[in-house]
Amino acid sequence: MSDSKLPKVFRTFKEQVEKLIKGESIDYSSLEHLFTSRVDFLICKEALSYMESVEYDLECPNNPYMLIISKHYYIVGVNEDDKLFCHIADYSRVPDIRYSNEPFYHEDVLGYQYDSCHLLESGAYRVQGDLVLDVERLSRVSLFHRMWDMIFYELLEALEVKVHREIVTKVSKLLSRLRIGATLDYTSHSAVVSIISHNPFRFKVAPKTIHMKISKLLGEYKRIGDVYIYTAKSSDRLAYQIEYRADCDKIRGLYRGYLDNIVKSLLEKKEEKTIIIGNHTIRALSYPTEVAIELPDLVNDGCLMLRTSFVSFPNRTIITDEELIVEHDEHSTVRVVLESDDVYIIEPRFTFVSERDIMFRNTYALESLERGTSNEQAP
Amino acid sequence: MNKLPESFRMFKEQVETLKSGGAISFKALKLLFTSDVDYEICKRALQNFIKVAHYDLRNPSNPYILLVSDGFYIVGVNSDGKLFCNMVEGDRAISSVDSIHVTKESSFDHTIVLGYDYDSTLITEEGAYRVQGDLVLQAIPNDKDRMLERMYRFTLSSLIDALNHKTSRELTIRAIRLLSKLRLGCRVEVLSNFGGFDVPCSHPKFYDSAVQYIVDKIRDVPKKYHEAGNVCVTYDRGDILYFSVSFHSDPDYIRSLYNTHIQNVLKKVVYQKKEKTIIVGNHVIRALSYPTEAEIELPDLINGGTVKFRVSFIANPENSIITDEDIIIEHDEHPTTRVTLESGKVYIIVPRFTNVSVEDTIFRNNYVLDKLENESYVWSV
Repeated sequence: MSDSKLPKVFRTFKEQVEKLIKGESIDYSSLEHLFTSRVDFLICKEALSYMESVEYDLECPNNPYMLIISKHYYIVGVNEDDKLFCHIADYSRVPDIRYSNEPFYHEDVLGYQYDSCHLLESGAYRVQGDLVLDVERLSRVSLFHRMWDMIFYELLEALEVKVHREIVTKVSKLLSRLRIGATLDYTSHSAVVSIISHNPFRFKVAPKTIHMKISKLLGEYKRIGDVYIYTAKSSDRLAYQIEYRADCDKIRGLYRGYLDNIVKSLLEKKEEKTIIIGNHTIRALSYPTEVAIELPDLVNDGCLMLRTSFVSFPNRTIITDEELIVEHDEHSTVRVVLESDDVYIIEPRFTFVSERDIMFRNTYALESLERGTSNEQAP
Repeated sequence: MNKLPESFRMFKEQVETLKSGGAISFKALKLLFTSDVDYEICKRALQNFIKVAHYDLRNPSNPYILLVSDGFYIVGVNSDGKLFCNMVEGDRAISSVDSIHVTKESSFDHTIVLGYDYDSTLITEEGAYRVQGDLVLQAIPNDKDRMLERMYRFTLSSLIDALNHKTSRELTIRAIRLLSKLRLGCRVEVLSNFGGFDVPCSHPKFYDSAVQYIVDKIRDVPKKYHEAGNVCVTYDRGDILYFSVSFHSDPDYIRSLYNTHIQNVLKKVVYQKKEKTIIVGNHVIRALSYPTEAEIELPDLINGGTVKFRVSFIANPENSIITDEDIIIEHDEHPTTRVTLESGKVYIIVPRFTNVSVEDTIFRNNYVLDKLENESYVWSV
């Protein structure tokens, strides 16, 4: 490939690196102006000082990358300001170039698949500087079903917690009437009844009788699910674990109308959302990423309060079918365009760099502050 | 001693016979007890017996006997005129007797053994009242103004906690943005649980003025935060550089800022007396109760938006009553009891059982399980 297609800054840098490989000496200070910031230059200087070899990713000549194998792995690329950046790469993301002929792909090292502001398929897109958007594309119908299912599973869980609480109250009254003292507790998965007793192993019939009584008492729950009662004995107590499992089909039938209406209304409620990650500010019109709902309790009485998140990190995720605006104090504003009519779930993050890179940059910033030469005016 | 209830007098005679070395008919005793299991517990006491019997006859119509046997047993008279018998905790029993040695016969105080102060359904002052069978009401009286003041204090305290938490979180987010602008990367372990973060770097001990500069910058927040409290920024420079941001509001300032809001909320709260039912064992306790807890949303006058918090006016809100009216107690074995409160005061009422030993519970459970085992136990559920 002809180097003439490469950005000028990268070509100049490449020439200097080639000289070093040939054993010639270079003037490091002349390299500094090629880099976006002094700290990137210093990282690169460290790389070149101990350089063993280099690998290139020139698949896209106007966006070239170089991997310097040195004390660590270092990646050099071109920023939007047409100057260079240099990062210490995360070891685990670099192919074992020293001992094999595996090619080097900058996307693997920096943790994304596309260098583009046009989102089409699911994947990771680098859209501005070190900002990557993890993107999942799905159809409107899929989004509707996903929201519906997530609310439904939250509803099932809330229902089971409430039923277990009701079970505890009912069993407590039953045992009280039988003149049995017990401790009772419940979680979302079960209700546990513990009866203290001396050597309960000697009782053969009584535990079954109590089991039967509890089973009869909880009969009403069997029409909307299954009730499992397990008996356990230890040297000093007789215990019952009661599990109620809601019948998904029946509950789905009971709540279908409610959930259809809720999800429909959610998909009509797009609001402006701003996420700040580092110095990047991302703005978009987003569908709700979480919701608090109050539903009537059609199994017991009263109501059920639910909080459902449709994504892992609702505060820092956008669900949208419109373009996004990304601003930064060092980069020009970027418009991220969606290339289909589908909906996109977008979670921003940084490109992958090593912990060593963060330490190097922090140490540099602290040293600058210490000397009072930081961009911000130190005292 | 002619005033003693008949069942107790007869039981006392049998105990004295045993003490003097005579023989008694246990079967004849059975009739004296409310239930078979109480009789069985007492039989165990008498069979293993019986070195000493202490009496509490201060109120002859409500007498008690403390039997010292393989353990400590208390016998008293139920509301049906028959006897009950409980195994009790040794420590309580020993401290209740008047003699120095528990084996030396003397009088004792049944309220210490069973863990209450009064055997009464009229509540007049602070204390524990046995009101029905094994049910005790712990009562704390307050005049209405004091109760309101207590609710005010608890609300203010919960509000301050909520504001401190929210503001610390806001200031932490602000600090992280500041570090980002200074080109410093940081690791926040749990942002929701304010407010520390690491700045990975080499040799943090070298950077005195840089760290001080960062601290000053983090502390450089709008005046309203400093007016409302203390913005506290601390750091640690061991192996890593660690910053912590927290906010501690000034209670007097928050009080003056929110006084009207809290007063308005409490005005609504005190008009919200509702019927409350608490079930303790087989006792059903009903009363008109003021709220024992509340969920409150107020404007956030420091950060903007709103601040939501839950306040409990007493330690165990679900199982307590705050009231100034009569309390009704029902039970399937006792007549319905009306507990009267001395007027002019508001009472915090917390129900519980009389104190008996774990052994007592085990004995009773085993007794029921044995009965069920033999399928000869007739219950009515």
